[in-house]
Parts: sequence; structure tokens; C-alpha cells
Amino acid sequence: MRKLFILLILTLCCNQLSAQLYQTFNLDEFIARHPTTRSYDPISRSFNGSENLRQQLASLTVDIAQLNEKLEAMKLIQSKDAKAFLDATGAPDEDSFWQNNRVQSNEAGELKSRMFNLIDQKKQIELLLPRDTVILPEINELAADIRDSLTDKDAIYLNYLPVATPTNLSEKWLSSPLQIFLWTPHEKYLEEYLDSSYAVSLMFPESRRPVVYQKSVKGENKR
Amino acid sequence: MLKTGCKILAIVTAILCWAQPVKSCSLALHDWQICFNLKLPVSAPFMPMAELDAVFDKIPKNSVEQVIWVADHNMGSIFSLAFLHFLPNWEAQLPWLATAKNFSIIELAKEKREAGKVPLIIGTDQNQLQIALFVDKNSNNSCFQLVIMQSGRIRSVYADPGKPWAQETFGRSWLSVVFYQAPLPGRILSLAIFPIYQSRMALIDDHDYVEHLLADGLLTTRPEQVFDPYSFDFPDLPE
Repeated sequence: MRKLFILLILTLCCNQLSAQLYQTFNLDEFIARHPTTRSYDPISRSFNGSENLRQQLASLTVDIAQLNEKLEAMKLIQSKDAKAFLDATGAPDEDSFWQNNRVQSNEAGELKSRMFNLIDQKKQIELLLPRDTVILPEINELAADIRDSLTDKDAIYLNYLPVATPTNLSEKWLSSPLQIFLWTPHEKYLEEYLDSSYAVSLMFPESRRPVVYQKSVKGENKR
Repeated sequence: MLKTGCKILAIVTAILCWAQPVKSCSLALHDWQICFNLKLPVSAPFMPMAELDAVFDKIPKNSVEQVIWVADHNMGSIFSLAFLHFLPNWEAQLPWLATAKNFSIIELAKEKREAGKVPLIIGTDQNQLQIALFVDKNSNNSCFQLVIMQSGRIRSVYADPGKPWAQETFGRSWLSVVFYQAPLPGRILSLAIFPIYQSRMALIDDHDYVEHLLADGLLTTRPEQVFDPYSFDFPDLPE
């Protein structure tokens, strides 16, 4: 009976505590002012001082240029063969000419396919690498700085999330709960949700990391 | 055969006329299962799209004044020449002369060169038409994709005295219509053709309609990490 009473008291205290210790934090402004994000160069799509990305892109550019040269050489060979065949007198073997031409065309097709693959790779690296691989250490550093800036170690901080640029397209994404929250980022939605939900990830199915930070948790950002 | 070809061409033309081009992206995740496949030998392609693709970027722009298309022509292939100027390639804007396949295109090229004209000659044979219908298992078999693919051997010759060019390739072109329940206007999710400048071109991509079907749970949402802009529209067709 006494254990039950203590348990009831603790439960009531915890509920009250969790309902009151919400604070807000302007993540958007923090990120915009942070030295890491300010060192990002949108033209080269990399952070200042980062050489890794440039080296990979340079290597791919060289490979693409080499394949392009091979293709040009092959085109020249085909043209010479065609000239010889068209200028030939008598009755040259047409089947043999076309057979040889088909082999050359297939080779050219393979070279072209390889070149397009490399071009795709180059585009992918340009678009994805700066976002994922290259900047991961910087993101960790940024996240650590964010945690350090949260002053109340027991509170749950609610972010003011970066607001998406309003476009006609975004209105069509009503099916996404994350998008709904981004348009009307009222804290009450989160409070209600935290009180009744067992997993924040349900509300943010697209997010790899929760957007609610708790100061007392070290390492990972958890609610 | 000719009657079937005309019917297909009429249906495709009607769909294209109703279609309103809209820009958007594919948001649904389909699991295509083939449920119908028909392969027909045809005398000539219904639209020389693969032929245009075969000569793409091979000849200096505006260096020829005429294209001679050599094939066992049917009514569909001749009729399609009236719509050629809708295609963006500069070669498509030239006058096309449909010529019966009575002799070698090399001989024809030599003959024309001696006459002082150097046209671009494109020969097509061994043509096949493949019609396939796919059903999307992710949509409880309510979403379909109709694919009309034509393929054939393409031989092209440009007998320019200075820099002649000849090429044999295997050409392929297709039209794909993705629709929900019925291929009617308003129920078409996307309509795409290949090749235009060596790549797929979407004539319809009805973003609003896809969003509506996704919201109602009638289609499966494509997770962001599954999206591959370079993926093909449909699985390989059976040989």
C-alpha cells in the first residue's frame, strides 16, 4: 500500500514536471549564425578548405574527357571506313561492311554509356556528397554546439524549425505530417503529441533525427 | 495488320491530343507485374523516333536538305510523317521522303551523290511492335501501365564527299501511359515517350492526381530514398 502511494505521488510529480519544462530555441537562427554554416561556399558546393570533393570531381572530369576523346576517334574511324566503302568501285561486300560497322557502333554505344554513367556519378557527387559524407563531422560539431547552448539541463527544448520557402508546390503536400507542422509550427501540437504519443518519429517519419532536443541527454539528440 | 496499326495510331494520337503537359515528379512506388504481352512483326515503324535518335548529333546541323526514309512503308508510317514537325530535332523539320525498300541504301546514297545531292538516308527493317500491359500490385491491381514499344534495325548513310558517315544500330522507341483503373482523360498519371534527344520525355505527369490517390491510400508513397531519377519507367519486356 505504501509502495503504491509513493508510486502515485511520483507519477503525479513527473506529469506536472514534464508539462512545465518546455523552452524554445531558435534553431534556424542558430544555424544561420554558426561559423560552420557560414564557411559553406554554395558555388563550389563545399566548405572552405575541403579538398576531398574537388579531387573526386577532377578525377571524374578527366575520365569523362578521355572517354569523349575515344568516342571522337571511333567516329573518325567509322567515317574513314564509310568513305572507303562509298568510293570503292565494283561490288564490295556490303554485308561485311555493315557487320563491321555494327561492331564499331556497339563499342561506341558502350563507351557512351560509360561516359553517361560517369557524368551521372559526377552530378550525384556534386549534389549529395556535400550534404552527407563530407559535412558529417561538421554536422556533429554543429549539433554539439547546439546542445552546449541549451542552458536549462532538465528542459525539453522545442525548436523553431527553419521555415520552408512558400511555394505553390508545398501546398500539395498536405498528406505529410511533417509538412503540416512546418507550415504551422505551434508548440501546442508537440505538447499534445508528446503527452499522448509513444514515439516522436511517427510525427516525423521522414526525419533521421528527432527535432526535439533534451539538454540532459549526451551523445545522441533525443527527446 | 494495317488495320490494327491504324487503330493503335488513332488511339495514341487521341491520347496525345487530350493530354495536357504538366511538370511534376513521380511520387508513387509501383510494383509492376506484367499481365499482357503481344509482339507483332510490322513492315515499318509507326513513328520514326528511333530513326531520329540514331542520327542525333551525327551530322552537322542544317547540312542536309532532305531525308530519305527507306522501308516497307505502311499507311501508319506514311501518316506519321505529317506529325514529324512536332518533334524538336532539326532533322525532323526537314522534308522526309518515304521510299520503298527496293535496293541497297548504299547504292541509293552513291546514286544521289553522283546526282549532286547529298541527302541523309535512313533505312529501317526487321521491325517489331510490342504491346505490354503492367499492373501495379502496390495499388491493389488498380493502377496500370500500357507500354507500346517498337524496335528495328536502322541503317543510316550520309554520303558527304568530305566527311561521309554510315551507321547500323538497333533502334528502340516507346510510349508509356500510366493510368488508374481506365486510360481516360483525368485518370492518366503520366504519359512519356522515348527517345527525345536520347532520353525520356514526359508529356503528362499529373502531380495533383497522384497526390490525390496517395492521400486516399490508393497508391503507395515512394520513400525519398527509393527515388531514382534515372530508373526506367517499366521492367524489361519479355524477349
